[in-house]
Amino acid sequence: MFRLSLRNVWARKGRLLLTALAIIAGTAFLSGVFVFSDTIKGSFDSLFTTAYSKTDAFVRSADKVESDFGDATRGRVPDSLVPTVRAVPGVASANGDVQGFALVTSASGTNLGNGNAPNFGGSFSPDSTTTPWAVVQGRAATNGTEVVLDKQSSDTGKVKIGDTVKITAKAGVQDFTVVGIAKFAGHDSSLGATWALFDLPTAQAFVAQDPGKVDAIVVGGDGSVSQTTLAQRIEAALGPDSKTETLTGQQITAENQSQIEKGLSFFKTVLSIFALISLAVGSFIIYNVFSISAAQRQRENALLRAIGASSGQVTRSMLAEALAVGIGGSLLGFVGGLGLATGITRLLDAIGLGLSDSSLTVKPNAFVYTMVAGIAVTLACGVAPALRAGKVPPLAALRDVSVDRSDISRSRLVVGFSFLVIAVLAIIGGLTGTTILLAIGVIALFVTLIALGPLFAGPFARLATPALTKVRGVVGAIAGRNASRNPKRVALTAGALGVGLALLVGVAALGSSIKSSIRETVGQQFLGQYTITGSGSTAGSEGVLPLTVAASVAKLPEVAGATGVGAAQVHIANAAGQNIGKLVALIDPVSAAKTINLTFVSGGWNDLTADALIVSKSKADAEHLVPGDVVQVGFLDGTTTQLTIRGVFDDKNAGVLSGNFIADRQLAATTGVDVFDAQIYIVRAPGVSDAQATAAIESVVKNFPSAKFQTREQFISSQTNQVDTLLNVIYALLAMSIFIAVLGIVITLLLSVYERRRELGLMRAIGTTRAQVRGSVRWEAVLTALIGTAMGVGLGIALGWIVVKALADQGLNSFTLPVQSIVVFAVVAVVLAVLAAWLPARRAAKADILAAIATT
Amino acid sequence: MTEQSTVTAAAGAVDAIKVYGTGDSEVRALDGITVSFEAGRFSAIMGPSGSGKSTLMHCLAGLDSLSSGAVFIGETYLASLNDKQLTELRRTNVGFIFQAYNLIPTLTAYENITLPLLLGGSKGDDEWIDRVITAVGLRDRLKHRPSELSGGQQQRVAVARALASKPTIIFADEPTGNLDSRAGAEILEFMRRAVREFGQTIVMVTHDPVAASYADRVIFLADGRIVDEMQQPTAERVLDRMKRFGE
Ligand SMILES: Nc1ncnc2c1ncn2[C@@H]1O[C@H](COP(=O)(O)OP(=O)(O)OP(=O)(O)O)[C@@H](O)[C@H]1O
Ligand SMILES: [Mg+2]
Repeated sequence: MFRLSLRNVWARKGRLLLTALAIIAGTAFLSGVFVFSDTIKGSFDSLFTTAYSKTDAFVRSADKVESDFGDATRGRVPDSLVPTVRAVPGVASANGDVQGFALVTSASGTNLGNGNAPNFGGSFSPDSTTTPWAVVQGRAATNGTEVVLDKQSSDTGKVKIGDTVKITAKAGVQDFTVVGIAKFAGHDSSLGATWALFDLPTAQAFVAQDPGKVDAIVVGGDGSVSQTTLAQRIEAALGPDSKTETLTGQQITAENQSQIEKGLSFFKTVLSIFALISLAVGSFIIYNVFSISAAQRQRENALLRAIGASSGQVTRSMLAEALAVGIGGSLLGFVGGLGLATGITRLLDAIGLGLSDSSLTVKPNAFVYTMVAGIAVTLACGVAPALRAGKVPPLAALRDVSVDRSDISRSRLVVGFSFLVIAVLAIIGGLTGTTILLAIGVIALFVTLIALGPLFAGPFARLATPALTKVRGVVGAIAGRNASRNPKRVALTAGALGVGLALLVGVAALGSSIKSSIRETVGQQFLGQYTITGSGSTAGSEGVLPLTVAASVAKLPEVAGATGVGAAQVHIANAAGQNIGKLVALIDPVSAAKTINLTFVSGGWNDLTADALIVSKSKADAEHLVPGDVVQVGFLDGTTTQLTIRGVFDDKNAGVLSGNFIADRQLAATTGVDVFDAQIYIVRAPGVSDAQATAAIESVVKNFPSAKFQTREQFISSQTNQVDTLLNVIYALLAMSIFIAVLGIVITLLLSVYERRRELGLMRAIGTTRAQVRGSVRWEAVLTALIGTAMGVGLGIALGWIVVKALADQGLNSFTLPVQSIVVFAVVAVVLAVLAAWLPARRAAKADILAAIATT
Repeated sequence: MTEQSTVTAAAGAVDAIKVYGTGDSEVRALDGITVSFEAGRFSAIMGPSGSGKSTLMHCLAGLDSLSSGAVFIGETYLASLNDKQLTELRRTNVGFIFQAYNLIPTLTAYENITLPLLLGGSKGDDEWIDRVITAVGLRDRLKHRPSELSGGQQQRVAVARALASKPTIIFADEPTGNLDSRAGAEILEFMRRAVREFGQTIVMVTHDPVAASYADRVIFLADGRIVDEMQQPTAERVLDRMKRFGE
């Protein structure tokens, strides 16, 4: 019997290839996600391995503030410790190291870097044996006016040795002469980041603005002792009072790698979710193809039964066939994933986010997960059709049973409506907290769609037929009838599209609601007319403006107030000593009163004195904080301060100030925290014209290459544009699902055309033109797409609405229907359907007339 | 039409040769057939299995092409037509009745009958269609799908469809092959009436001498050639002639 299944697999190559296509597309995405994220991780792993390959010990401050993402910002250590370390027996070289933000601007005014990877400034000592950097052209920087740039940034930015560049760092903006070009461990770039390398004193003063301090002391051993022994000796020499910790080279490498892994695992999870959505959409198609081919083979299976095959044998042979296709499809899908990963890697290279070595990292796990998921889904989809095939009575071989069975059974209705209830309940439950319930809810929604889809698809097609007949005459009528002849089949095909579209519409609805919320609250909170936005990025923060920008703008007579908003990582503890926060927004309260309209539940901007803290209402409620409470704020350098809660602001609507705590910016001035403004809000002075104010502010902004002037309207749009960017990324990730759904239309139509070859031949015999036959298939595809669109839009609006309502306490005011997006999606769906119909329509038009009317 | 002195040919073939395959497997399904079917008459084609009856009909109807020779319908030689023109010709000038699988399962009886007209975009002659429907006795079955009709009823729908567009000629390949004798007789009687009353031209392939006796003329085929012809046949005479094929 198994041999029979294999023979069947072979005999039906065409149809099985179609089944396999759906599996291939679904699994390729999954394998692509695994391979791609393994590849990125591999690149970072090798980056850190090279960066620390010659480091045997690493001394840094024991004071740190951990962020919610698992990494830690640390204080600095005095550079006076360097000689102590150097004197330890076994140490060959020890150098202080400083790292921070530095944005390089060429003489022509362009900022170096690709805008995505961070902009670093750091110290470089040519005598260090541990640095991964090597000057390949020119020489190292030796004084406060010289700098060395990494090769890729200088090449792409067209900066040569001898050129003068403007560099923005914590201390402000300053001109430097490029004296050298350096390579990172033999590579032109370290994963796309830009690097400006200064001598140590310049890095301390300009990048860290913390003379006498270094971020770390990097130690190379002379090889006489192990890394562990060396680290222990250094730790002993520095003593516990130094408040330092010493890691071995291996430890610091591993620590950096595991941090990256944590960061990437979130990214991998998100991508995997989209890959699984694609696979779920693909499962609609796989199930459909199995059902159709089981129905088409009913005669043959009945014949097998008649000549003595047991019902179990028929079922098993169908399952064995599913297994074979599952294995084959998943294998091909895995290979397809390698191609996908290569493509994305190339794409990233092309946009300058290149990975230093672009060879793919393929781990066994990627293969195992892809195969297991692909085979499991295929088998699961094959079970019901196989069982149904086994139940075929032997008599069916003798009767001319109709292939198209389209009755909707009572049990289908019961199952469908039960799952609908489960879905609604689970989603409501899930939205109030439990993610697993949400997942169950979404799965139940899928089941509902499968079960109740035909209930919708049949009537939809029937109702649409008269309209279609009006537009397209008999061709339309035939298309309509064909679409409604098997509601189950059409419902599944349309359902696959529907699920993809539902997610698109849901996301679009969420996005447009977020955008209108942003417009509303930002518009209401921001009292001024202009903003300055920081560009450039550093590890951890996006948008970097030296504090001098806000100060300079504030001094302009044309400006009534300019408020810079920055943030610092701190450690906020309540009276019981528990950590209640890690990030504080830093602001100038005097100007804030003029520029930012916060809704205070108690207190106000006036109360934000140097020893005060303002807390959001949600945080205050959660941590039972009331005005007058005292909290302890710890800084990177280990110092702590007592602050009193003096105000509570309403954070129901996310606005210009995100985060739960606000403090006076003087607070961080002396604590070793690298504070930059991300945004500056500006109010024009009374009686000053727009042109005057703009000219005055622009005259300041032009001195700061990382600063970008925006009007109020531009600023609000740029905020909503960020939402659009995110939406576009999600759309791109969902595109694979839509692609699979369209593939499903192709597959189902091809199978239907094959099944109807006799009637198509008859149509041709009595005078239907090829164009009319093609038209009827095309319109059937369009009708299918419209059914899918109707399902998807309906479900999507519902999903979007539920999510928006559930997020109401996080600042979403109202549900906004994304009408424009919905229209675009619908049009795209119909166009895709017409394209999908191309091959099946051609096949149909080629139907063999003589074969059709042959009497056998 | 029968009053006309010179009888015009509705369709015909001249030196028609159809060869399937090459070399050893070569089959001459039609081996030089010259025949014409007069307008307004009911002709039958008979012959042993494999003698080329269906092939001749397919070639006459433009469903298949000849290896050499010519076929014409009305005044048109089919070889001069491309696929689109052939389709058009079939839709307007030819009607078909097959042994099985005659109707589109998704369309109602009425829609099947009017399908060739609808395909051409014309509304058709309502009065004529009404007459045809009355004649085949399907008035109370018009809204039914083929699966809801008996074999005989389905075949009557097929006959009505073939008549609906008033074609130059109707080809029927064993139209009663799947029916019992009573249902078959109904169909045949109706086809004869179409010829007598409406002046329709019909060419029918059949194995059944009784069926052939409804025709005005029978042509006998064997091995791709016309071997005999009989006017005003009766079942007995046809049977006698058929028996001689066995000898
Ligand atoms: N597509 C084809 N390829 C090869 N040979 C064919 C093909 N179609 C028909 N033939 C051969 O041509 C000859 C005539 O076939 P045709 O179908 O016309 O016979 P027929 O008279 O209709 O027979 P029957 O009474 O059994 O229907 C037969 O020998 C048949 O085997
Ligand atoms: Mg035949």
